[in-house]
Amino acid sequence: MAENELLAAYKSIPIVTRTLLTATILLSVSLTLGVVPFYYVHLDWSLIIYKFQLHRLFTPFFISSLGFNFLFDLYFLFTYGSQLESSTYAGRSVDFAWFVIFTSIVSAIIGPYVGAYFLFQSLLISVICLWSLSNPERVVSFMFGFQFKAIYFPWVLITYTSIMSGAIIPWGMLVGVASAHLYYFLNHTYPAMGGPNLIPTPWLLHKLLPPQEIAGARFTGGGTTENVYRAPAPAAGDISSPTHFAMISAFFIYNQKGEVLISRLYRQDLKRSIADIFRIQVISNTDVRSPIITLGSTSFFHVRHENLYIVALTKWNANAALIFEFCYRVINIGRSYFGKLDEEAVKANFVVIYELLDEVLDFGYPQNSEADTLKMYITTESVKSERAIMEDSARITIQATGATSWRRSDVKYRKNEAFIDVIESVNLLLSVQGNVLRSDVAGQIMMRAYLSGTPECKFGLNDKILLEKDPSNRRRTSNTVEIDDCQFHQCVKLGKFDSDRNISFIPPDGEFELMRYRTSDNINLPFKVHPVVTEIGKSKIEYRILVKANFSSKLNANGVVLNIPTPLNTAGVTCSVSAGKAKYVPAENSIVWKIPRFQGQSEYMLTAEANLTAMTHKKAWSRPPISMDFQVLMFTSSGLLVRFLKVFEKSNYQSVKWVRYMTKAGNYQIRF
Amino acid sequence: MSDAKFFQRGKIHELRLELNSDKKDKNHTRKKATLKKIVANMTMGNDMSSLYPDVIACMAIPVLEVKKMVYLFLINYAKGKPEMALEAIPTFRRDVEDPNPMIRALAIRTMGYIHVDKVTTCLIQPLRHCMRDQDPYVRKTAAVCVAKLFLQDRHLVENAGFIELLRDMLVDSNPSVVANAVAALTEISERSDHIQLKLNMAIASKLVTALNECSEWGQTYILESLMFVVPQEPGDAEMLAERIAPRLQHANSAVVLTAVKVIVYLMNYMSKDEDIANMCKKLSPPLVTLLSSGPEVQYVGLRNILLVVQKHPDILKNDIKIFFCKYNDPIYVKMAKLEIMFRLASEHNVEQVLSELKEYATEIDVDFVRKAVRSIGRLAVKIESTAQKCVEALLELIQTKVNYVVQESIVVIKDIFRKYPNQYESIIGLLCENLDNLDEPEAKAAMIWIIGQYADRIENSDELLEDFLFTFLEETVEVQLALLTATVKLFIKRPTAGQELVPRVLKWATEEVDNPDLRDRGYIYWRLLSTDVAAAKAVVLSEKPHISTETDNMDPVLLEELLMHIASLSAIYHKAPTTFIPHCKPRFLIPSPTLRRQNYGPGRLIHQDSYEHLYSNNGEDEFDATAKQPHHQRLSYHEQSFEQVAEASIGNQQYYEQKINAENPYRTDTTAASANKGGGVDLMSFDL
Repeated sequence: MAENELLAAYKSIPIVTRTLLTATILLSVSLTLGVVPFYYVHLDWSLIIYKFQLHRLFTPFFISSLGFNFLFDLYFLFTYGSQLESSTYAGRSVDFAWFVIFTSIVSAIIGPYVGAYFLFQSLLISVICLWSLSNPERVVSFMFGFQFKAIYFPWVLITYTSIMSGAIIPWGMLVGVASAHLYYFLNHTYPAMGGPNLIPTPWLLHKLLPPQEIAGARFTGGGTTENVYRAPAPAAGDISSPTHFAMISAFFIYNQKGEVLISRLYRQDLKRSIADIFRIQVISNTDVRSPIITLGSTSFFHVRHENLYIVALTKWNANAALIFEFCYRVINIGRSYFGKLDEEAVKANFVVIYELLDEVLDFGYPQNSEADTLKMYITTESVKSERAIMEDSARITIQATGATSWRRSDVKYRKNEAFIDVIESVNLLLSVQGNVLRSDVAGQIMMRAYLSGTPECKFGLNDKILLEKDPSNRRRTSNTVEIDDCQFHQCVKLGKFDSDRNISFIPPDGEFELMRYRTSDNINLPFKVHPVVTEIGKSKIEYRILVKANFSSKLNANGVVLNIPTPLNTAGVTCSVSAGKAKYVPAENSIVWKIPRFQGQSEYMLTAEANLTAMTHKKAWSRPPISMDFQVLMFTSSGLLVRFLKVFEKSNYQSVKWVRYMTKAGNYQIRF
Repeated sequence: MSDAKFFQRGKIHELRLELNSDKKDKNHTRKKATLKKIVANMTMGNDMSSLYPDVIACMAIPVLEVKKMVYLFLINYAKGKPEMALEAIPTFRRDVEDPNPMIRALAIRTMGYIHVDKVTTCLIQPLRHCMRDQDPYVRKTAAVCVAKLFLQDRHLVENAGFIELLRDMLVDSNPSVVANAVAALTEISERSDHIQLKLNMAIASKLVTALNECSEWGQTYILESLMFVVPQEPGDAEMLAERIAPRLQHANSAVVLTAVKVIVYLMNYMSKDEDIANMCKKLSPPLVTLLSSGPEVQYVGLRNILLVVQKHPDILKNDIKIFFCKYNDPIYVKMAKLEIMFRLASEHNVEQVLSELKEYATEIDVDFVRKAVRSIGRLAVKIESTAQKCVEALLELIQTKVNYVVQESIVVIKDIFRKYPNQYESIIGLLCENLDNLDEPEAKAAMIWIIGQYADRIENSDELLEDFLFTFLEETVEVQLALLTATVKLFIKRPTAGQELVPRVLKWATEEVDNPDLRDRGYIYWRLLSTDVAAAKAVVLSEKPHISTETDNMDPVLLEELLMHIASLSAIYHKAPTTFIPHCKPRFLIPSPTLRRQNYGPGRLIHQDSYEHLYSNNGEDEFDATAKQPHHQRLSYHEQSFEQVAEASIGNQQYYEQKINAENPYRTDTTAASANKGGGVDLMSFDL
């Protein structure tokens, strides 16, 4: 039985790798045993050409000296060869065979010039090299746990061999690396840039190596099916062929390692293999300087969220704002469905995500994407929903296409309540001289509506323009706020707001963002910061930071944190504070001062001294600004107030409304 | 129930066994689990197509979740296995007749994705029915499906009456249906040689009414289609713009930017200046609000703002503070902001801008710092009153001794010298202290130019030049040309100091260097000097033309085209879409009695001529979606020529350069000599 298992294991190795392994073992062993004479196998072009010793074209690639290293080499060949053949090439053994042949030809041509007559090492390293190029981000451990990225693997091996053999340059291996890189360029990089594949797998090989039946699975050769490794063919110039179309052509979600978690193609102009291009160009690139990358006529839009990359592709001059908004929306839907959208959530719910993507994006055109409506017919508990869908389909479809697509009509609550949260983020940029360079407030009005039926809501603020229109309110204008601009949830009737500045709407059920506004007039800055930072010589910096709360003493701020940057060469910091705790955090290059509770009108002081180590290069410290974080409840920097919220419903129920205000730090930065 | 466990490589034969197992399978839980494994493997890129027959067999299971997974599988693999796709047809046939509208829509939607001729043939009849289905969800799905069908077989769609059906949908009672029909028509029109979407005011007005009830995406599609309205009567454009304006308050930036695009477009057809000014006022706040979205949308917004303010400088002219960079803005946002800051800088705000720029020049990112330094120099050239302060700022920066800052400063100081001759020569001494640090050709050439220009003021100019000449043969052509000219200038200004150097340089330039430009220039100088020194003096020391930052302005024809593509990729790259999207129809302002006169160069005229030629035989100004292009021969000639241009340049350019965000894409040049009109110097470098 054991023998049978061994045979089965042997047979389970993909065919090309298997052949390579067998040939190597047979030849090397027989050479060592003396069955084959040594002078009969090395590469020598003159003998090939003049004496017609054709076997010399093959033998040099399978000769290795027996020993400990031989086992290593076989192991490498087995591991990386079969990985390439079965996963990178997705079982297209023909293409893998062509790779081996191509690199062998190149090595055989270059080899003799550099004195390499036995080319097993170059064959092996070219396999490893292609593997490392295809999996650049994988972590490889080598020799007692020494870890590095796969892309460096060939070079580590070469160095290792060179050292072990006594500082002899392993030319054979270098030749192998060169040939693999040449192959990768011609077959992958160049076509990825839009060029033709200059080294297509010869037709003859397809004949010789028909699709293999391996372990019951049928792999097809050629490029008609999923083409995992090869870059897509460039857009053909033929007008009638479907090469390029508007809007989103494909949508992917990747994790940080570049593994595809969700892949959905909407148009035939792209292949799944395009996913690899993004991984190479963006995820493995440390210096990405734009959220949009265009290669040829394919554009990749990406948004990073938690530990994910949300990526949309288009081959058209598409609406970039729309695509990014759609990516944001996917994140929101994910949050609404799964609590948060991260790798774990995506993996745990991928089937639902596919269902959602099929629904919210049709042929690359975003459709109704209100989570509330979607939840009526796409749910995580499939069984329950299915019966519901069958029964309610007509109602659902009206909902999904109707004028109030965001609300179901059958909502019922025993107690009708509505909560309004006014959340303001204050942005501040203070110059070195203490002048306000810019200050503005980005406000958000969140609403949680627990109201039955189809309620019509009217909402009023102390908005200056509105109040000035109304003559009875003239005298109160001192208490108004001038809003620079505002934006509303799609439930708000924009036409009505435009004509008489009334905010009226039928709210979605549950929590939503009713409006966003922006104002830059008369802003009450909750905190004033006076930094005095002096550099004493080159070895010391003195900080004296005074913070004053500028709001009513009846209020309190929570979670006040100041981040005070220190130079990169800070050795240590001593600091003392009149409230809270301060400590130096080397990882952030800053002193972090936390004051959990900060009463209005009070002021606190930090004094600190940073000792610097001597620096050799003379680049000056760029002095990033001090940044601040805080939350103040029941306070709005803009002075905005909610004046009323009226709810009208057919059944005329009473409803209870609550308002809460909060101001928090947006970008609160003080230069010094 | 977590599905994460399915994310592992599955063996095909095992999956097949699981699918075909005879074990009791209550509620099909087993089948579902296996299908999930298959979908997970598909996601990971493992080829599952050999499971085709087994998966198709699952179509019979009456569970919606299973059906959806099977459909997903079909969409993925049908193209490679057309014969297998046929087996799915009976199920599709049943589904399109299903009483449940969700099932009908699902079947139509999925069939549209399967590019197999037989499936397409089976789709035609049901699709017609679905376009008139009583359920709006089915109708809206069917509308998009026509666009899908068009990509497979455009003749079929054009000749089988689908366009007419779509057109009827424009007046559907349901807003989602209208929006999707509009989207489908727009796409078909953008690709077809025969079909051109034209909307008259009556239809446009109906569409605008539908806007109020549409989903946000639907609003975008409808707004997009309004770009095909050509106002004919005075007042049309004003009325339409007025009705679209409320969209500027929408929370979705796609709606806002598309509305901006339509309004900017309609302004071309407004007669009164005050109407335009009025509209401009409405545009400012929403554009600023874009900057409180996520960084990606901010970036899109900023690149578009840069376009809009070039055409309408009044917009945002008082809002420059909004564009000051935050320390933690992503680099792409910072770069885009910097450009707008420079554009909006004026007498009133220049002090603030300058102090900001000085701040940025001390930051870490090299490209950003360089751009900041360069902007300081350009500011000096742009606004005369601030030149002194800019020069002081640059000198301060030079004192920092940070290598790239020094070099960048020297490059822009050269421009300042050209713009304001004989004002700032006192700083030359300071510049000369940094000669040894120069290693970039551009900075070297700039410094050499300064030495040559002021050879008579700099005491040791001959020594300085001689130092540079030491490596003459290794320098780049740019530096060699500068050296040649500077040496000749030195000789003319101070014959005694230069007489030794000149013959040496001339000899190198004419005998040792291969570059023809350099050689020719060498010969010209040589001949001039040896025949008529006075003439040489007149040529070499002639008055230079004035430089200004006007050369930064975009070519007005290109700007006009880009404004019609606001929010799109081409507006972000500031490149006409025809340059990177093959076979894309160019857009231009279509003449009408109300079109404002555009005073551009002859380029515009050519466009309009060809336009007249193309469209003159079309119907009146009624909506005419199927108007056949009488001269489509001419049109395809156009397309062909774009393609040829694109191909030709592919041949010339290195493929490596295709990546758009190539290094240092923001470099600009203010010298008149390098003013590269129309080629777009001030663009992200985008080579195709």
